[in-house]
Amino acid sequence: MLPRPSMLRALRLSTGNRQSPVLRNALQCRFASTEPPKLVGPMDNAFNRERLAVKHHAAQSAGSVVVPALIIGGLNAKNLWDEHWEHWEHMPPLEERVQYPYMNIRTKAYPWGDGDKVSLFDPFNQAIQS
Amino acid sequence: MTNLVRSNFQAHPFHLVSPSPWPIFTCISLLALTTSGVLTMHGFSFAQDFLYMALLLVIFTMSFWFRDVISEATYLGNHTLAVQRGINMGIALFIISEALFFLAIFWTFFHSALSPAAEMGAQWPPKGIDSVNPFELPLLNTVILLSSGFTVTYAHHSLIQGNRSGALYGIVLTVMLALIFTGLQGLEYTVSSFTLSDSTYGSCFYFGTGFHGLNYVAPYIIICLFLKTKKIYNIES
Repeated sequence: MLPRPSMLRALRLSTGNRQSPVLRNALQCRFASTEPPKLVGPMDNAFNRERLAVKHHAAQSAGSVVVPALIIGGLNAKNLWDEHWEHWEHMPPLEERVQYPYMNIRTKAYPWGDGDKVSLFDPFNQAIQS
Repeated sequence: MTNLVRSNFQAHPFHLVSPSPWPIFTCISLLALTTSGVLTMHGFSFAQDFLYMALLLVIFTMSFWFRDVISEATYLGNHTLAVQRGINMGIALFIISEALFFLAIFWTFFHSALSPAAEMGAQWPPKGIDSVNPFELPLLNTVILLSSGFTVTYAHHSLIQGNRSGALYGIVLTVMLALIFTGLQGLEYTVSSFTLSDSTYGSCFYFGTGFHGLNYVAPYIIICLFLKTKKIYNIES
């Protein structure tokens, strides 16, 4: 990997003195895996050492936050989604809202459909200029 | 060592590529893609059909070129450490160019947002425009995007470990997350109260999110090609 030595050096410089050893280890382990395993079997050369280090690094992945994050994000979005439509119901209908001159600009037709609506048009949400 | 013997050895670690039709093929299909894209945007007849054909052509050339690179990297053993470093540098440069592209998009946004024009009520979002709540679908999509980053890394690491089913599951999950992301973005576009023709706010929003979505669809296509490749090559070790 090209940037590894320089990134490691930069990380050491930036994290070396200020933070606790635990945090420092956690930050640095991305670039410097602990105790690279010894080569057994393949010839001991730079290429095989690199492949082994990559394989060693690949064994250290953890994604336990993914599923909870997706669930929390989904619930939060559902909650705000309902709030949004609750709010929307109390707004004046689209045709009564002011159409300022910088809105619904048409200099030429869109290259799709009837040329006047955006491709994912929804008459419930978006006003059309008559 | 005689010259005849010496010619059997390569005195450098680099990969001198053999003649290949794919560079010129890719150039032609990309030219077709941009040309038909421009013609489509200017409303030329049948330009859209050519756009789809050119897109297919680009995907064909990509898959053929990837196939060659895979055999060079594996069976032919051309990817030495020096070549790997070169590939890493290429990817790093590509990511830098992407970052600068998005810097330009953010620049248009900040240009319009930090000193809003008097014609739009000198406020941002402009008067009459209901902005999107960033903590609703955008936050969910961010979580999905980062999760797909995890699943694709899981697939990559499984691949390195020689774990075939892990690699396949990781990629299938990534494709599913990509589809959900794109679907949610489509939903966001449908329910937003402004369109791309609504002031500079709409232009900036759809310019940025549209290109971001495109940046998600392109890797999705590439990942589908990889999935096909993984089905062909049995990597169970």
